Amino acid sequence: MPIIVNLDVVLAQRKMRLNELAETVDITPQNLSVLKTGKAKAIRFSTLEAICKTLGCQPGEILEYRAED
Amino acid sequence: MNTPEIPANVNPRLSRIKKLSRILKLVFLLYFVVIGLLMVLLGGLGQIHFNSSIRIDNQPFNSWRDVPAVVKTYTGICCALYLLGLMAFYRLLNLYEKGIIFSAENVSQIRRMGQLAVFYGVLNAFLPVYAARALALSPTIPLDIISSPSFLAGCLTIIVAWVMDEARKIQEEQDLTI
Repeated sequence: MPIIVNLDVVLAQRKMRLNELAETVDITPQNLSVLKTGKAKAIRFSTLEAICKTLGCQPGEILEYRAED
Repeated sequence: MNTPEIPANVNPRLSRIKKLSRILKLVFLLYFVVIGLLMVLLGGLGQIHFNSSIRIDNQPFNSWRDVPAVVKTYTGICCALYLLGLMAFYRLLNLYEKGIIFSAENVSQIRRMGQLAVFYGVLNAFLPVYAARALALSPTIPLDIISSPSFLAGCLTIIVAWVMDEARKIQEEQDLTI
């Protein structure tokens, strides 16, 4: 999929665990794991807003577009 | 943020589906397996006397030996298709009993039932032609195949399976929306 999710990178930079993020943004750890592993089909703006607010980052730091060859 | 999923054990609709599937499974087993075995057992004990003559598509035969080989083959294939359809239906009921309503496996079983019903309808429509030819009677061309119940039911079932597949994909996309 051309959209890459770099959530694990940002979590590592902020020294935060997935479970902690899940608790703060009120999303189940399983759903966050789906997002982190790139299996998600779509993300709501409200979810993206909550993650960016908690991690103090921009959407572009979490989502990256890489064209398929 | 994300609405929590209602657990299956408190979802009343899901419980109703599971209960209905369990009842249908019991009825299915009772009708096709228990009663069938009982008939064989009672027939073997001599309690029920089966009519010794056989009728295949309204053609009487004195015994199974008198039936032409091609008609036997055709009848065998029709019986096999019927049994495969029953097995697919039983597997579908098993899935519903487990609470699996929209899945690739469900769609596959429904599609299989539809395809088997279509083949069964087509073969059943052509059986009189082959039976008549085997008996050297004037053959009738089955022009009414499209009105055959099995054929129509099979086509409708295949359409339902296709719609369910699309619904399953939409649900999957919804489930994977974070």
